[in-house]
Amino acid sequence: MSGGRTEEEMMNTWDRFSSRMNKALTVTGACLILAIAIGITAEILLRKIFNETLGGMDELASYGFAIFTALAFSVAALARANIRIDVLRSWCPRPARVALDLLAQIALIAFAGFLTWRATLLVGASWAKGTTAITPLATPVAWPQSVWLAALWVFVTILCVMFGLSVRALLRGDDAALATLAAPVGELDELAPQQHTITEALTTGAKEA
Amino acid sequence: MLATSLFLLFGLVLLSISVAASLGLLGLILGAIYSPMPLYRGLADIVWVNAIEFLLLAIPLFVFMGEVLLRSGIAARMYEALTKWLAWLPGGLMHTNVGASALFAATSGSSVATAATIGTVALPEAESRGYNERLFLGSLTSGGTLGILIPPSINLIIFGLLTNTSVPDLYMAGLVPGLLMASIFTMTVLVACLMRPGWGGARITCTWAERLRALPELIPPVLIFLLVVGSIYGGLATPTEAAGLGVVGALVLAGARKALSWPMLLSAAEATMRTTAMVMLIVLAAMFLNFVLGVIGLTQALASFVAQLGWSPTAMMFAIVVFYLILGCFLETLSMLITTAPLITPIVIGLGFDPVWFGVLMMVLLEMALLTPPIGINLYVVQSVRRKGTLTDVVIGTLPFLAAMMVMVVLLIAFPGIALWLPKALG
Amino acid sequence: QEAVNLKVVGTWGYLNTWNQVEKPFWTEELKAASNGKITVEALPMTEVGLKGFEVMRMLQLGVFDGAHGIISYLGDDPVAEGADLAGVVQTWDEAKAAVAAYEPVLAESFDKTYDAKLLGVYPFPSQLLYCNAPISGLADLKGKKIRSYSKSMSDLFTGLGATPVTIAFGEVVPALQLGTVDCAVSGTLPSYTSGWGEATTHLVRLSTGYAFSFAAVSKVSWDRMDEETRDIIASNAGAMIDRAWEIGQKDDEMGIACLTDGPCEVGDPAGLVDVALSDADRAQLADVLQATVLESFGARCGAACSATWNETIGRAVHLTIAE
Ligand code: NA
Ligand code: NA
Repeated sequence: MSGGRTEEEMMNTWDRFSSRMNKALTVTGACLILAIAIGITAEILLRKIFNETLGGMDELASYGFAIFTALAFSVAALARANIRIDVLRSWCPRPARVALDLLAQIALIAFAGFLTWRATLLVGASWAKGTTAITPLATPVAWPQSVWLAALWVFVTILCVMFGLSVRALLRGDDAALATLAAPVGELDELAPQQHTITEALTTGAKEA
Repeated sequence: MLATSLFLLFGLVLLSISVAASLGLLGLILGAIYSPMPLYRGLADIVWVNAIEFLLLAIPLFVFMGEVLLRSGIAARMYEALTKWLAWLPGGLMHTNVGASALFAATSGSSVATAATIGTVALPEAESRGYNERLFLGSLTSGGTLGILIPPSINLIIFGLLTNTSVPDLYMAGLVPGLLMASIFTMTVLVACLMRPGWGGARITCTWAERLRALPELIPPVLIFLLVVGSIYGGLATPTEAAGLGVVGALVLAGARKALSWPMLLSAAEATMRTTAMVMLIVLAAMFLNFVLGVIGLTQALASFVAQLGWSPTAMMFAIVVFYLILGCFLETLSMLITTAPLITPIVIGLGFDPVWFGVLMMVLLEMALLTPPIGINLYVVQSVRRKGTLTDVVIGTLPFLAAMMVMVVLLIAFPGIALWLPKALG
Repeated sequence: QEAVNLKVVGTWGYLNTWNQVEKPFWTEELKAASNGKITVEALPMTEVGLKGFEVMRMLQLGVFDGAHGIISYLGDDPVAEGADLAGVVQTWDEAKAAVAAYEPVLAESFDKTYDAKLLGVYPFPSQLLYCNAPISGLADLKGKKIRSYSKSMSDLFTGLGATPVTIAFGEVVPALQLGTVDCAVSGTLPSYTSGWGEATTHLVRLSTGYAFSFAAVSKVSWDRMDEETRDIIASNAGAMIDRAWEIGQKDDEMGIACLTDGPCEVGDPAGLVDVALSDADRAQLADVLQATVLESFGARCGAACSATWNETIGRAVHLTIAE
């Protein structure tokens, strides 16, 4: 049936989008965490050996951390990796489970959306007032805040798209799609996809060495 | 107010709404019900101030360091080497599980990461050796909890941040109890397998030559421990900076083993981002909830209720332990730490206990919370790595170790010196 | 007069200034002065998990009606920074003169920038330098690693030939003990009670400031109050501020005594070596302030702001930001 095909196409589009998005977020995240670790190490060595300081390395690292975290929210959203307690859910019949899954999506959107809305106002105020950090660097905080805010918006957008696709899958009765969009990966299978790569890494690591 | 708060919290969590969203929404709802002021307006400010908290930066750094060590094969080889040294004991690989957990804990800040790593390495080894599967699983869930007691530890850093306690002191105070706890786990396995020899599986023996040859595989984790913890005591770095140093150290070690590649770094970063997001979203939501609980007066109400009980310090400490055991069944550990530490610690200090000692006791209680159903994250982690059988096996196998941890709690209360001796000796 | 209920956030719950000044003012004195018409729920920021940087924003957002906070934590306006530049104020007399001169400037800035009505400005015990290294005067600070948390403090330490290091507050005491940094700054009595005396060996009497703090009410709340309520708050605030000055100075003297050789009312003297500034040190400090702290602040705050500073604090402490 043609309806089924479009649904399938749509899921393919989503899969492609989500894996590209995941890749982009991961590459950015890897660069950030490496930069932070190397920056901190450089600061330690400079301080110990040359009695010098990069000046405000901790502050820059803190902004990097906030941005890393906000980007990470999207990675976790795409992997449905937020901790959900599914003691009750696992006892429920299927329709109730679907209802709980959608409710969980709505609740996360509500909290994340609310946070992002308030954050938008905060960053607006920082721009308007030209707020600077009271640190030696006196960073105009609107700069790091804006990047952080953009990452939060990406997060909320992803959550909304996933919710929209879930509702669509529900209406079309596409259980498989619904499961990949809304069911908890929880603790139970959260590590499963990861574990594959881990085992792979372990065996290659052992073989190579 | 307290009843409503708890009812709402358990309600939201049981509806399988993610823990972070539950905490955040609870904060917004309680603020709307109990405060005439628009507390919700402060959400972004509180989140931003904590999002840039330098001390919390240790979370992604430690997680990333562990992921790099795992992906470079260092964890697997460490496990193999420890097997040669420990698996001759009745109980075989179960001793390796405990030992490897303790050693990996010395390079990892998290209990979940420790359980996941050692579980991933150990479970394939357990096949066809005839162990009592439940006890084997228990040695993994409980051994993994050592991650937050043996330094470095994300939870000790957060405890230090919330209660203004010195993180280096907390680290030193956690070391001896961590090793003692590992020994108690080992004893538990030993006693069980001496009583029921069938549980211990096939004995693994090897020659002293093999053992000595395996020793170099233990050097990398020891180097990381020395780098991360030693740099703090050598006056080189602060605890958070030391985590950054640890990442660079792990990268160098991975490079030395020719396991360093861009795809490997990307997959380590992806896993780090997933864990960081889970943890930080909970931390940030819990910080806002704390603010709301403080402003609506729930925090003070509880504190003054406890103060007017007028119990003796020992009775109070007993009550606190029971309180955490019960709460630990139902709450995720990080949110439990963040919402209760700022409230309970001043009371405990007021009773004349040492905050550093209490930080260590708190870690043991959190470790127990990781193991108590229905909400015991380490149970889920090991079950997820295992991917067969039921969670019940994991729960039953963990019970003897929970009893062992209760012994540890009693020992800590009876002999505070277990925790306080080392920081005093060094300071 | 109508009944009003206010929500107020104060400073550190474990310090005397909260317990003996801020808290009784809001919860007891205003109630008594208004025959029970003004009731206030006041909490220190430490009890609601705030770090202090968010306090002013919370006031502006209407989360609280009134707030106490550190002026140098405000980041929106160089005028606020000017109140507490590192090293400028060295004695209690200078502190009083500086605040008296600058308070109208701050009141205007609070009105314009923070939508708040300034009730008064008061100090905490002085922020001195604690070192874990032998120091006999400012010259010995050369080459030392000193923890700094503000721009003017970094300027001051750089000017003295030291290396300003930025590390998180929670990491300072262990960093001093373990030698990650050589010196750090903190208030006298608070640092005695939180164990700085055991972490360090030398107390250098270089004051980097008095943590000047504000008591303020948001303009929205202020405008909503009737005339009588405002009068009661404003007229009682004066006595509260005066008491804060007395307690700040008393705690400062007690803190210094406790940190050095006593006598100490609140514990055993910590026995730190008391390093007073010599005349040569003072002369060097004045030069360094001129060349680094004031010069760099002048560039940040601009000509008009510098001129105002020169006429107020500058005159009180005999320093001038050069054109
Ligand atoms: Na650890
Ligand atoms: Na539990």
